[in-house]
Amino acid sequence: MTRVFGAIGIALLVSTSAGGQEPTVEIPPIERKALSLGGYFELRPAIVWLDTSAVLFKLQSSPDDPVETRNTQLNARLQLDAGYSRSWFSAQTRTVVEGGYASSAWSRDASVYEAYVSLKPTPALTLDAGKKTLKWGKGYLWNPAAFLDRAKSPEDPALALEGFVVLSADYIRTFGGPLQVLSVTPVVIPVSGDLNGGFGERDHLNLAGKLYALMWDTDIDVMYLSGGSRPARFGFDLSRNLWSNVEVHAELARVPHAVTMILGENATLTSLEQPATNFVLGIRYLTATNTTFIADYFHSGAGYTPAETERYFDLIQRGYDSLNLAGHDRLLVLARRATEAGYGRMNPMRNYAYARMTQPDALGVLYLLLGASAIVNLDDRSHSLLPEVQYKPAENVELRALANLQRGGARTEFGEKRAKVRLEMRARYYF
Amino acid sequence: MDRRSAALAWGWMIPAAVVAASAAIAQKPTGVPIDGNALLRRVDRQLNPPSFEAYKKIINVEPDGRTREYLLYSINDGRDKVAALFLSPASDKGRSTLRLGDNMWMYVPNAGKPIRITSLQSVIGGVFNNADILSLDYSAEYDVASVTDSAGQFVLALKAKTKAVAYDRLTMWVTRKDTLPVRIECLTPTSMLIKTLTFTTMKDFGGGVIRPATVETVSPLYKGYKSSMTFVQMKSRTFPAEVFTLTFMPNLESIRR
Repeated sequence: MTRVFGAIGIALLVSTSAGGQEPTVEIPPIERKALSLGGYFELRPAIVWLDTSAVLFKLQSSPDDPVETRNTQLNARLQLDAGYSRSWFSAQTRTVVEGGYASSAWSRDASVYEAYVSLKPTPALTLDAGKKTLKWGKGYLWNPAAFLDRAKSPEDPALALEGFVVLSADYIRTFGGPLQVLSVTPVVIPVSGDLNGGFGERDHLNLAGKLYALMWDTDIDVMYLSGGSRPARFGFDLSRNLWSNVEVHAELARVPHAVTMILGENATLTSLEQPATNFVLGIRYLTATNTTFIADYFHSGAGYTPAETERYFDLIQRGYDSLNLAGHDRLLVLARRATEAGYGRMNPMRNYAYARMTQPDALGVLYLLLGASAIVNLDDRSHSLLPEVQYKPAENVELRALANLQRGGARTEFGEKRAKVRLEMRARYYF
Repeated sequence: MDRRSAALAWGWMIPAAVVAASAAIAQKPTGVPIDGNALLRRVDRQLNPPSFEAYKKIINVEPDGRTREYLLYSINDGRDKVAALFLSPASDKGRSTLRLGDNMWMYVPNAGKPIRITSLQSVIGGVFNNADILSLDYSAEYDVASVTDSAGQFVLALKAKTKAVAYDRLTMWVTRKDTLPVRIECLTPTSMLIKTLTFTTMKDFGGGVIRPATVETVSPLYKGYKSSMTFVQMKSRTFPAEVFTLTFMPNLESIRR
């Protein structure tokens, strides 16, 4: 693994040594081409220190597995974006190919994240059909009003997400006065067989919509999702610059009939239907020294309480003991079902805070960014800390070192995570 | 008259009007007060047509001489609407930015949704911030506090109309002959110098647009660094209002001819 880090470092040093030129203003090619191709390739070697006493480690291990306290990985990712555009017609695709090596095993996967065609008969109207990411909501990490999106990665919230196959449209109107812009985005998302299987229950035609307004210098979205594959819900978000260096945002979703799978005291998994309100409140502040601070608070109305989470962790521990001592796996199978049913989702409890600080051009070095993020579970006081360093040593080359330190007491969300510390280097080349 | 014809008419009328107004200002006898705000509006029209598209090349120069270059396609409409699309380098290609008055957004294709940004940030790093890259008419953001006449140049002291404006005060040196800026100092409320913009290399872009093609900037906050923005192409063009919206940001490329 050390060799891999070394090789990447040497390659990047070589790529940066071609500087030292005086600026020249040559007229670049500016004609528009019908076909476009771009993307990036990245390598991500990582070392993970595992917490063998954590219950989530026990959930994913079996007695026959050798106990591993440290895991080295090498992950690679190729993202290929291609587009074709002619007059009022365009087509876009985004394909992601991933490969990895960890624990003496190779893995690979290729997915089409987006593939859709667009018709733009006028600038006021766009019609899209195909697999597309919609990305609703204003929160940085949590988006309760993103009814048609997958969850973001806490280690890289800006990472491209896989979309769903949809039919959608954007209709835009502009006005004078306090209401400057109004746009409507209706969406149809069918779920049938393998089509959009990850969205929810099969054999439903789901309808959703978003109304956007720029009013009194504030972005306001109102969203709706009809029932079907997922319980019906509605919500809104807003974002506004209070001053030239302060932005505030909020996002709220109401699910009148949210269904939560709860573990009972008698080791049973039952569904509980209840209304739930989920919301995010956030602020972004830029200092005079160009440091950006972001703080978001997230409340998940249907999230698990500390007592419910503790019961889940206890079940895993009892299941692990039962398997090791008596060879019975019934409790561990139930724990795995509970994990898939909701306990294993990202940030499954009720109250969280996210804070992020970034300093671009840090230490007087242009293109060097120092940053740190923290995700704090306010219910059990456990947390995840993510310090990072980014540097762009040359055009189209980006380096990032990121650590993820998960801390917390016994039976807490981050205290029971499988990985105690994860250290990752990322070298990305854009083309 | 349709919008296209109106734009063409503007292309001829504005330079003629500005030349006439500049000549009138130049002939004013000493001691007659100058209408600073009218002068600033003339500076704006000398720099840009009321509605136009442009290709800009931004070059960041590091202390060791290394450079980073960005190519942008930008469109302006009226006094307070600007949108820009990054065409290169590959790492920034497809990013777009939008400014409506004091509101600014950035769209990154990977992130997939526009986010609000502020005028003091820089989407590219370097000495230019977002307000410099997505600049509006000066008269849209500033009032003229005073004008002095010095050695063939007007020196305008400008004060920001609101606190949302990136620089609280500007000092602008404008030529008497053609009412074009040659230098602008950007200052904090306490008169601390944030950066200096220098306008160089006069160029005829056609359609009556003759202006400095390059704006160079240095800042005491970025010692050893400098940045320049060169207009590669600029021409008068009108746009539907819908292209200056958040919803249209992912589609900005479609209006490029």
